[in-house]
Amino acid sequence: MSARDAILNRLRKTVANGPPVALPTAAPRVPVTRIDDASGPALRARFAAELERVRGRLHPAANEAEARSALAAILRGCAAKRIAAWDDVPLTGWADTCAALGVSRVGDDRAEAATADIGLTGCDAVIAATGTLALEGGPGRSRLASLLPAVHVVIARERQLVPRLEDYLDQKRVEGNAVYRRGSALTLVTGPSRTADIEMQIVYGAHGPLELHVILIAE
Amino acid sequence: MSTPYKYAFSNAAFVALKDIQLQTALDRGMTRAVNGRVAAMGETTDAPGLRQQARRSRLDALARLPELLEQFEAAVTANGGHVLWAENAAEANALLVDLCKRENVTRITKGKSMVSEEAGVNHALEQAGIDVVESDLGEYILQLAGEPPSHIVFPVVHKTRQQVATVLQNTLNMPPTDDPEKMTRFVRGVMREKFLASELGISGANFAVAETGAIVTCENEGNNRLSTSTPRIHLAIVGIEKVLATMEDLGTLIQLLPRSATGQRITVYNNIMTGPRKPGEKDGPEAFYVLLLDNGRSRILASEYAESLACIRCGACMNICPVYQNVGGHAYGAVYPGPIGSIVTPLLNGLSTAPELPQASTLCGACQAACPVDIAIPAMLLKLRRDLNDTRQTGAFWRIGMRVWRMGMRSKALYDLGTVAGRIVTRLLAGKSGVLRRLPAPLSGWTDSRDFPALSRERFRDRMARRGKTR
Repeated sequence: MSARDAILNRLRKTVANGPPVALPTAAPRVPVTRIDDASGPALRARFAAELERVRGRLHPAANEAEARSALAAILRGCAAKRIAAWDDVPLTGWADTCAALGVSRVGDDRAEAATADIGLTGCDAVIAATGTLALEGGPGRSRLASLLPAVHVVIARERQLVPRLEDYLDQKRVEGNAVYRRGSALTLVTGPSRTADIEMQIVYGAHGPLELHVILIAE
Repeated sequence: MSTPYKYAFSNAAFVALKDIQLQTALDRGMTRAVNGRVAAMGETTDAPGLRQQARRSRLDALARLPELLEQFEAAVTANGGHVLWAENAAEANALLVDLCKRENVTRITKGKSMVSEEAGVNHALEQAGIDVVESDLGEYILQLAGEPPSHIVFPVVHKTRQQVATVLQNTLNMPPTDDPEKMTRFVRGVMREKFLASELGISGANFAVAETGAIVTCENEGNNRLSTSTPRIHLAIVGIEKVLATMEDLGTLIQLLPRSATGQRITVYNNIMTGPRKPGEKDGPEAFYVLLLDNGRSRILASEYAESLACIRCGACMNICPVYQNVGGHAYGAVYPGPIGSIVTPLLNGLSTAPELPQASTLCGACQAACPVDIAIPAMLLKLRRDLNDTRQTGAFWRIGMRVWRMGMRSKALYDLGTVAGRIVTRLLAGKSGVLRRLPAPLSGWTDSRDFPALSRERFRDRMARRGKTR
């Protein structure tokens, strides 16, 4: 008998007589994180506060023109030369902004992506309660763009704000969980990479990005 | 005659208690972890309710384990991945080495995985001539130092920054510094080259979700993402108990895990990985494997210790444990230390290999109170102590003593006789000081570390009876 069948057979025998441990009585599910006010402005303020808490940097932009200015300022700030990016970065003219500053786009393979000093992506949800960005995988998207460069810039929209992680996962469920078949990874990002392995002292920029910038466009 | 007082844990614990650097490191680490958890759980919508919600998700998954594992396997396969099954560590390692040979893999980067520690994966791969590098900062420091982790979340918590600096200077010629930020940055540079040369990335899994076939890892450093995104193959090694039914279950648990472990609301990265690179994706692994390992878990599920499989490996029980806080993880001599480790280790390896661990607890109950899935750790430790006695793995003195105690507790006459005799003997031996400072073996197990007070002249119930009359 294969290991698979042997293991499954033993397990089946065990659970045939009911749960190995009695379950707590069923109760309606509650979300983990407290949200006192789920209005638009409140969620925006909550996201801003949570992002700051985890050392992410918020760049509010009223429109796309302001977003491009914010992007240019970040590019100048880190003296970027090479950028790794998704094909579907949701900001028109981002490539021109880069080109105007002499920032060239790198290729897709890992050696190329590793030479980028900045990564540019969109996101699929902005989760207020924890300051989290949901980055779904899929065609034209790169996992490494948000991972290898020292600086990660996310273009987000206020309409993408959801109160909590549970709300986002529910949304995906309503869509038939197709996202998990479309891409190889869905990444929830909450702040720049960090570690506390040495004496529990927090150090930002362990193996992933040292800086996380979120350009949040109002319109 | 062997007595439970002379076990190896006790020896290791005595050494640990005198290790000033270890005590410094533990003091710095544990307080912070405990405070973080208390604050992070306290600010949730309903901490007691959430614990029961999380517990229900885990126990429900265990009750439907065979069905959910099959559903998980089907989902992974539909996503283009492969599922491998292993009965034990030897089978798992053989499958891994085999895969490496078939795919011409010579360099591996690894994300943090306790189950791979349990299976001795690194050793097996090195024996096969394959270069395997731990990529988590703490785990990498330990690999360089040739030491096992001492905590399941903070693997190198037993070392001070100065000790870490010594390891990095001696093995990697790091420029002298003991600044955590500079050391982290130095290792980042070293590890980057390894990620970019790696052909296979091994990860563990914090959770596996049946309905989507997702492997989920929760991390802060990004090393797990790098290990699973840069190489052309990703293999996740997963204990069969890690499965959850739905993404809804996951939503609760991926938040309670960090709140309990580090006091974070959520970890920096939650990686929900569903198979190899999909059409049109720019990167991600070309091949995706999940290695499901039993290694005794199906046997545990059939035992009265099934609840131990609900553990989500957050480490809260060790952070709060007065024993762990004082002796650190290495004293347990096991992959899984602390209260939950004292249950899991004897169950995985056999009670006779770790007869001292169920005793390495004060049964104060802080572990269960801290557990995000409310595992009855003290009750199971007691059951293991009973098993030790029943299988004659305790010393003769202990067994006879327990028998005498049981007789006394069941008969009022014998109990009364015992209290009178105990009072006379202890008061006689104690003399004026009122305490016994040294008793002969095996009773010295008590007096080696504390005094034994002589019994009071008046019994509690006599005093209560007298007070009742005078009122």
